[in-house]
Amino acid sequence: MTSIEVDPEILAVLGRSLTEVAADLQWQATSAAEQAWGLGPGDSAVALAAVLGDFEHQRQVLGRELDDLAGCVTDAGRLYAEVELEVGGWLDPAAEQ
Amino acid sequence: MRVLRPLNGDPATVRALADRLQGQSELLLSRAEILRGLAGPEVSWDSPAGESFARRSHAAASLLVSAGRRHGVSAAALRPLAAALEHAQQVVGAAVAEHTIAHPWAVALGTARVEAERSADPAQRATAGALHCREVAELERAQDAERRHAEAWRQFDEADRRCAAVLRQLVEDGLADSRVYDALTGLSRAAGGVEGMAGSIALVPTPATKAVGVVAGTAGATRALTDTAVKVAYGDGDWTSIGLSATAMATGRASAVLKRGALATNPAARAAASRTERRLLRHTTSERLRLAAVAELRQVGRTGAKRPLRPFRPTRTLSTASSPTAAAHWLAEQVAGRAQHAVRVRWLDDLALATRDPARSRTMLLGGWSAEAASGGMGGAEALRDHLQGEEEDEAKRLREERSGLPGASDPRRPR
Repeated sequence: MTSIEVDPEILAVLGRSLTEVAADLQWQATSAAEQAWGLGPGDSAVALAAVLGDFEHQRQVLGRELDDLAGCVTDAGRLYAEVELEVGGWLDPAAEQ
Repeated sequence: MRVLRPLNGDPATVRALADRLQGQSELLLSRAEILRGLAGPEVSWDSPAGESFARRSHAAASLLVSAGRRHGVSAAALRPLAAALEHAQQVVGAAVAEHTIAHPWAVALGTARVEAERSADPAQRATAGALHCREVAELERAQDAERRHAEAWRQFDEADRRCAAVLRQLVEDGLADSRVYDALTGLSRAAGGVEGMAGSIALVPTPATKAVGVVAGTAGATRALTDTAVKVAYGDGDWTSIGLSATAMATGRASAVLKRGALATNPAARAAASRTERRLLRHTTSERLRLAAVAELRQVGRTGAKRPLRPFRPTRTLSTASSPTAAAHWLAEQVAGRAQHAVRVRWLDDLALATRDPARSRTMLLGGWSAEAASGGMGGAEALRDHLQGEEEDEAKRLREERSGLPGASDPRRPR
């Protein structure tokens, strides 16, 4: 049976990071579209706006998925830490005091 | 005089943009790697929750990889363009500056040469040759500047075409929105623009501009419906922000949505023992709007339009020979009767439904009533229209019976 090491702090950090990615992705698309004028008068500015902006639906889907996963991961990390603390207390009451 | 056009753009901005896209790409791919690690074959998930997490992680990781690839390849494509733009801008800038000096000089020297050649003074005519040499030199300078300008533009256009081609290929990765989605969101944005513009114009109190308010109302309703369609079909958007504007209420559809939302309930809230528990389990406003909008769209799809439950029938008929005073009395009576009918048949039924179940929203129901009253349905015009329709129906029925020879068709006592 495969065993994995779980660090609740890392899970919590991953959860926060996923939430930031979802928000950052949307900001990047808007910001890049505003700066596309810097590319000059050719076709690239329009193409870049399309590349970064034409997947609004998938970006929103990704945002929702990442938000949900972040919530799950954060909850899992918190619950794991609580269980670990509680079980540790049962096994070693002196250490808990 | 020919004017050379400058080359706009900012290579520094392009480089900064490329750096940022590259950083974003690395971030997205690293997060995708973490998620793939959690969902990969090297991790054994034994529980149903773990398997579900792994499945969802894999889907999100795939989207992250696609988005990260778009950002990374875009960054790589932008760097050569920035270099080409910088070089071309230097050449174009120098060519424009030189041309701006050389070309007017050549024209001025040419004018002076012609004047010298036509001059009666032999000393003046003798300078024509030197002037011609200087004119040719300045023309060559200007033409050289034009050649360098054209070549720099050609090189930039080529770099731009290469960059645009790479970017366009990225769009073919299946991540792009569907045409229907684009059409719906585009229609919503356009309707929002029309609504705002027409609404502003309609604020000016003249008959002509007031009529624009109808345009604003239609555009507002269009936006509300397209936003709702996007939310229902794709899950994008926010029910609270979609809202229900006053203009949409004027169409009558919003009142139906509000009433449906008010009556939405869930068994858990209905069975709750305490008031606090019920409040926690009740549908939120967003949930109510979502449920109601979905149901209303289905209703529209099935029947095209909502029909009244029990139509109002005039309390008595109005003779065509009636005086204007009698007609006015009749109209007032029908309006009052119509209002009572609406309250009795439609609103009281709704109120009974809403009050019987504590998990329903009476506040939203009141909103629905207000919207319904605002959108008409109880006015004198409605009463008159129904009366005229009823008369037409009776006349048509009488004619059908006369043609078929049914007994009683010609009975003078038969009400018409």
